[in-house]
Amino acid sequence: MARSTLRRDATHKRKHDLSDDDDDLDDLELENWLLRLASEDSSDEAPSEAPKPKRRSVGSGARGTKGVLEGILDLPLDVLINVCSHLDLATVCHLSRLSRRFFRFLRGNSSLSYIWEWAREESGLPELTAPGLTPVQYAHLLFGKHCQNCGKATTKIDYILRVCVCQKCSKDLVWDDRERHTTLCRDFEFCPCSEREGSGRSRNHGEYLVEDLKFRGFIERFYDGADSSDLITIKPGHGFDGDAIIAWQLQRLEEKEEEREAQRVRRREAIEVRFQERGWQPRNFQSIEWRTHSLVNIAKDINDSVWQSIHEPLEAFLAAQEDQRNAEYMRARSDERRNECVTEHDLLLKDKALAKKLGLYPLPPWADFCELEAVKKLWQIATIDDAYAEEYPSIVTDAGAIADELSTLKTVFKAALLPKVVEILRDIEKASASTEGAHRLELLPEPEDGDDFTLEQEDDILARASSAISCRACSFIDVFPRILAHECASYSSRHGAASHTIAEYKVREKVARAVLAIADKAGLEPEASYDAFDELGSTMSCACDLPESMAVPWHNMIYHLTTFHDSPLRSSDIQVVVESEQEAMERVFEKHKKRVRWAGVDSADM
Amino acid sequence: MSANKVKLSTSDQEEFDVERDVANRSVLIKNMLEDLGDSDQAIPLPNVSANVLKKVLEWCEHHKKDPEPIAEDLDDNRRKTTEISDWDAKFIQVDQEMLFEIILAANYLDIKPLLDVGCKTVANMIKGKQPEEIRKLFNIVNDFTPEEEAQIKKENEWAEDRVRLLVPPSCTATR
Repeated sequence: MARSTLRRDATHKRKHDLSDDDDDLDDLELENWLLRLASEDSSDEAPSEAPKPKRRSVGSGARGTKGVLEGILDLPLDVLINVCSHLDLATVCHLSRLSRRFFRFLRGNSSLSYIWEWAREESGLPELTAPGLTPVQYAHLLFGKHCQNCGKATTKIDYILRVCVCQKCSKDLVWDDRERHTTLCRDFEFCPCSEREGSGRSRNHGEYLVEDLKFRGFIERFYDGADSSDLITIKPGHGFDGDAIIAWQLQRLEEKEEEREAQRVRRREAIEVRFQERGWQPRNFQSIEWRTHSLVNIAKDINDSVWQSIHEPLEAFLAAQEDQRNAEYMRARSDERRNECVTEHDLLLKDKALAKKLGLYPLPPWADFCELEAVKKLWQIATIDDAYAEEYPSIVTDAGAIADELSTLKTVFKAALLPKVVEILRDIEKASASTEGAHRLELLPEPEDGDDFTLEQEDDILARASSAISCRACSFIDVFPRILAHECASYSSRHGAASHTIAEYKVREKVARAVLAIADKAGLEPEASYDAFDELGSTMSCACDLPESMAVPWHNMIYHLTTFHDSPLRSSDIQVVVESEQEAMERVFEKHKKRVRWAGVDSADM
Repeated sequence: MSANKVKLSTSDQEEFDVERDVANRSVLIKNMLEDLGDSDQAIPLPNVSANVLKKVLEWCEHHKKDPEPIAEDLDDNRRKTTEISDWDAKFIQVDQEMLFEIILAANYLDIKPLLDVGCKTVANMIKGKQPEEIRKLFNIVNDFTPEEEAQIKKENEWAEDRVRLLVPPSCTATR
């Protein structure tokens, strides 16, 4: 209590010093007083009781010298009041802190207190229902940045308790009722209680001013039983006013943010206009990265000097963005064109006539086809102009180059296949020579080109049925190059396209031996070409009489023999019958009847 | 001298022939003309220089057909808005010295709308600025002592006022 009284006395003295006791001046006197002040030297203004004002160093930017621009001080009082009548509370508050003259003008005269009221109205601030806060204090509560107790930076503002204090003073001045002690004592029921922070966030506990709690105790002690109807309105009034101020603050924050956003948009658009004058297109300003760029997304208007400092880094950014966007577009267009090629490839697989016309038959599956360099070029985009080009190559337009590469692919296939076939046929030749009593086979011609075969000899060897190979995917058996056109029945092959890769085919001795066995049974030469075998048609049957091995073409029979007979190594082991379908049926029927008789059932019963 | 023309004499002895409608925008001149009646004598304006009067007359010429403001509404209208019309905003784009001269002239000549434009312009210059910025803008010297400034920052007479308002008068007397 003693500390509080001392502080009050000191405050009174300071207030007395600054206001010169001119509370009741009328307008004319005020004007004369102000004009007198204006004509006085500032050093003469120090009150007689107060110590002489200490001059500060001139180094501070705010300490200017008097000049013609200081005309605002020379304005008549009513004009100055007119100016102030258009100001908001924050500005009036700031104005009152400019100098001693403004302090006296705005704070030292209660007759001019309406300026503060006007300023409150101008700011749209709510009128306070509970007493206890002068307009100056109201302004300080809202716009003051210093602790009302010690002058340090404010960290805690409470609009219900009407305090702005630093962290340290808060501990001394504000009672934090986390333990809810006040609920136990009816002394506190009239004291303003805050459950909202300055930001509007709710607290889980109430807070009281220590001063209020002491004061309440003081009232109870000295005025017990007195009429306290005025005191009853204090607490709800503080709560109502505090909520209204918080609502105003939140509204103001929202408006400020809207204003800042509008300013940001204005700046961005101004920058964009300047860049468009330099040749950039509106599409360059569509990205989120541009809108949120640290030099663009600032709530500050742009001028020429700012433009000079930011246009180079921004132009570099736009160029990088353009490159990135172009690269993305080129990649997307490349993918689109590749997909179009896939569709076109599918169509060609179905339309064999067109594929033949274009020289692309047999068309390999997409997995092989897309590896061709001529095909890859179809979706390779080197420049952004290529990406935007309306006309671009397709399989049909580049069919010639693709056909050439396919031909090369077949040559490679053949080059890889021939040594394997030759090796197998040589092995069979050697085996027949070493087998006693057997007819010596001569499956390969004598090389005419030194140790190598001529091209004609190579084609002749590969055209023999004994050179047949089988597809790893669907087990189909045929000779090169006809096997490249077989309707591959594997799941991975779209529209029956056969692979053009040698690794996808098996070259087996077993197949060659089966072919030789069939040739033997059919009365063909061992080196007979596939044409001779084809001419036999579907006349091959296996003695095992499985339905799928009756009256089938030669390559089906080879499949049967190599799949269902473990070691068809010698022709004597294989019981292949050359017969028509009708003959096959009769033979099998007879054979079946014999089996039935053997089981003791008369055929007449069948 | 035509009956529709008025002669004005400035502080630097320059004379202006002005249409009566234009001159009547000034309540001061209007009253003087009413008092003087038709006269060829120049009306002396000892507080207004020629270049300022020229500028003021430019404003009066543009606003000569504006309706007369109603006296009771003046105060309210003045405080309602700080918006200025486009023409006025362009007109008032002058250096600070001229701005204050125009305000002083408008005040002296009693041209309230022009005075309002000037005051609103000054208010808009000040609005939203921090004390340091305002000092810099108007070249105002901060003559507070550090102790006074510290005291202003604190504004700590609050608790005292609270007590003064809450405690009944009889209680104050005992203190």
